[in-house]
Amino acid sequence: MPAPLNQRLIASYLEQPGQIPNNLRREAETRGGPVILYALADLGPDHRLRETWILLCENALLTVHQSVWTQIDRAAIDRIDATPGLSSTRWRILGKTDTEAPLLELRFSRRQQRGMENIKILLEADTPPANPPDPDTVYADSTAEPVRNAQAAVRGSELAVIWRLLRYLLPYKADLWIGGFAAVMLTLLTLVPPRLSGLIIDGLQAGETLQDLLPLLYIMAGAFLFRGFFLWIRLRRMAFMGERVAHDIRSHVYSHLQTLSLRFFTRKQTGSIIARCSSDTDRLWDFIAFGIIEVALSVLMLLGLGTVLMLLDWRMGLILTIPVPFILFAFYRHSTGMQTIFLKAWRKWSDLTSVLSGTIPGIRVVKAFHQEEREVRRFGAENDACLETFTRIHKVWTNFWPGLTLTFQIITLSIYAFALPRLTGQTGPELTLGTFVTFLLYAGMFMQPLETIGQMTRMMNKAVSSAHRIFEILDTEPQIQDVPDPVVLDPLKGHIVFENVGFTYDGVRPVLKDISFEVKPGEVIGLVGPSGAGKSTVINLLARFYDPVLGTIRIDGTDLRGLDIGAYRRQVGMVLQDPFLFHGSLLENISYGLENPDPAAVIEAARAAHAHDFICGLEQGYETMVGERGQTLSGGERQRISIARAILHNPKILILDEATSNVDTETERNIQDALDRLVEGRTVIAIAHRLSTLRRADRLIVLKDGRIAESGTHDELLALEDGVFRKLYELQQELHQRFAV
Amino acid sequence: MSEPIRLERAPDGRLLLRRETGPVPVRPRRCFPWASPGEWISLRDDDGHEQALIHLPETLEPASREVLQQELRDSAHTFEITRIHECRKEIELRCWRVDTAQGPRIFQTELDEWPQRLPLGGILIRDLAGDLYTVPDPENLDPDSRQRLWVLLD
Repeated sequence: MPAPLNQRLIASYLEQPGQIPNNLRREAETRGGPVILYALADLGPDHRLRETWILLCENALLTVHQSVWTQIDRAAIDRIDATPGLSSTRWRILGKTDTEAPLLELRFSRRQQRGMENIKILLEADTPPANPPDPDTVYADSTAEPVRNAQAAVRGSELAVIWRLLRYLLPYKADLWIGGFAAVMLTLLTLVPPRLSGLIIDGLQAGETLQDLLPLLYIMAGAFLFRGFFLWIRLRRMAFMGERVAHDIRSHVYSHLQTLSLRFFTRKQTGSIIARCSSDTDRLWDFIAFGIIEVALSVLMLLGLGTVLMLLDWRMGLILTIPVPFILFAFYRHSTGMQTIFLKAWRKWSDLTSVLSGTIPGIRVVKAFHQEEREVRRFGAENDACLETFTRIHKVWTNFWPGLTLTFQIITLSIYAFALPRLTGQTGPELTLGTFVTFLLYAGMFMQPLETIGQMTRMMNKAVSSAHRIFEILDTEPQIQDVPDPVVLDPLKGHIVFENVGFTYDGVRPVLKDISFEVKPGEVIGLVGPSGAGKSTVINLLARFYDPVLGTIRIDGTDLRGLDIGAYRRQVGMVLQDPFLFHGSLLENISYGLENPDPAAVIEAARAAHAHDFICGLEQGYETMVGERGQTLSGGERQRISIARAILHNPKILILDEATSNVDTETERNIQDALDRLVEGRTVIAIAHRLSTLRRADRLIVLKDGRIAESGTHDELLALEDGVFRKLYELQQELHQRFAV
Repeated sequence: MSEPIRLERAPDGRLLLRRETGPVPVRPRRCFPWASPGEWISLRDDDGHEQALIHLPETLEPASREVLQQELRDSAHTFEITRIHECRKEIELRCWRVDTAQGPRIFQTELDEWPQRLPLGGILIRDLAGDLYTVPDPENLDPDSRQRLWVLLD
């Protein structure tokens, strides 16, 4: 994410500086050497908001508040004692001895926490980073992150978003012109029949014969015929075009999604991403196919009506046109007022659905604790609150619409009141009966375009929201990207080296600290440790789902960041704890990613994975559909399918993440047997919940609190008194024995 | 009989729990920060393990109680809203401009992150970064602020 975007987000959403003022930075560099990182501590000792910059320089830690500097030598700092509160954190920067007062105390809100934690991580790191990141980028990135995660899209004007959306219409210019022309003709032709009706009435009054009036009837018939034709053209062309544009946007969004890093998917809820590809594009179809044109036509219709009426009789025309701005304003007020009440209703609705989403999945607990009546009461209370708010909504609109209808009736009455004296020849210039009828017919045509224009704000808001959500995906750049001229390692040898690797998912809590180890080609390594120790993070980095924050991972001697991602991942296989099967046949699932799988190779892989027998037991064999709405497989069966998939792809590096943790002992034995065949001749990194399954690993690496606590063979680690592995092992044995009893 | 809880302030400012085996640096954590802020205080060590649980701080001897209350006051900070100038909807965000007892501030909440009523009265709002904002008594707000808040309350 480029720094300027973050700086703009900080300036517009947080109203704090997007970077440290240059004069302060220069002064800090004079005092403490090059600035490595900086952040803002935004609370004073009394918790009032204030601005204190904290700068980590090469030689010193500096703070400045209203030009008052404090300076602490880095060598004098022992550690930072951080005390998190409800909405603020207090740092005490402590010296080398417990008997001295803290060197410095700082307080800051959650908003600044990421930036401050970056300083803490670096200050407490055992080894400084080889290539320290740009401090401006780190500050802006960490401060803007919550807003960016929630919204991500750059805040742009509605017009800019609509304009960007309209660019998707460019490939369909012909449809747009034809559809637009048809829509204009449709509108103009709608104005013809009322005028013809007036002329016919005037003709009858003037004593014209049927023969004289027939041409007018023919014109009217022609107008209706062409109107139908243009309506057909307009609906068909615009609907088709809207659908194609939505199709293009969907394809564009989905193909871009596939390039995005895992971090994007962990940040956004699955439902939200799916909605962007489905309901949001659908809403845009509606807007493009009908919304834009409807609004444009409504404006055209009003202008057309106004012009025709003023040309026919300007006095009468004024009666109809003067109220237009007031009615538009009434529509606008009604629309915005309804939005406020709808927000309240949405709040109530959200409470009601949260009762449902809480109790339906947890119905076993509700029944087990015999809380059905309580839940009914709780639902009833929320339901009553919904009723109250929706009643309020109905009160508002049921007042508005009859009022509006009455306004139009008053306008019609006014036409009568002004027209009748002229029609009867009492006062004013002469008015024909035909012109009068024409006015009455035109008056009835005013309501629809006024309503459409009045609701334009709401429609625009909805479309712009959807467009924003879609553009957010399109504007997100993949964080894991190939460098220019990446190194293609094919085939891999499978030599893995972690050098002082550090990592954090949120920029706040370090998950891995100073991890260094080497795995030789063909070695089988077990990763062990309590939950939260960082085992899965190690394999996430090895699969390059993320890049390390500190340090380097080398594959066959090359920095992983410099490798061609596609070529690398094709040679890395993963068997996960909860294997995912796509909707499709077992054959498609095993050969996922291969163009023309050889059936013999698929069967061979399935045999090796102990899956062939149960597959042949299914009526449709390898062509049995699985996944959503497909055949249900047990956890062990799904696991064996995923092992067969890994065997067929013949990876050089194999990652096993708790591959046997969710299955019974018998199935585990089968899977373990399959895994033993799978690991032959490959570099393997395996995480296992049951430590006994790692007995055959060449070496075990024990992680604790993000660091390597121990490493060695199974027996070596068991021999370590007070060893982490030994404790875990003994605990498991004890549990196993208790369970067995 | 369990060891009496004695607390003191270390020279480096940290809170120390006096144990027969020696002092242990601890941090107090309220078990029920909104419903019973003055009761059930858990003292956690640097590894996050509970060293002691205090039901009623009043039962501590005065010096211990005083240092505990100081720590609790420090960790109880939330932004106290005194006026809501603006609360407008943006794409996927609700943007607030408020005055707080700690100074003026703008912040954002997710659209479905609704203000929450607190058990002892008052309103709690949580922003995108996790900062907490309280309105101790919504009735004391000016009418415009009350109206802006009313729409979002249950």
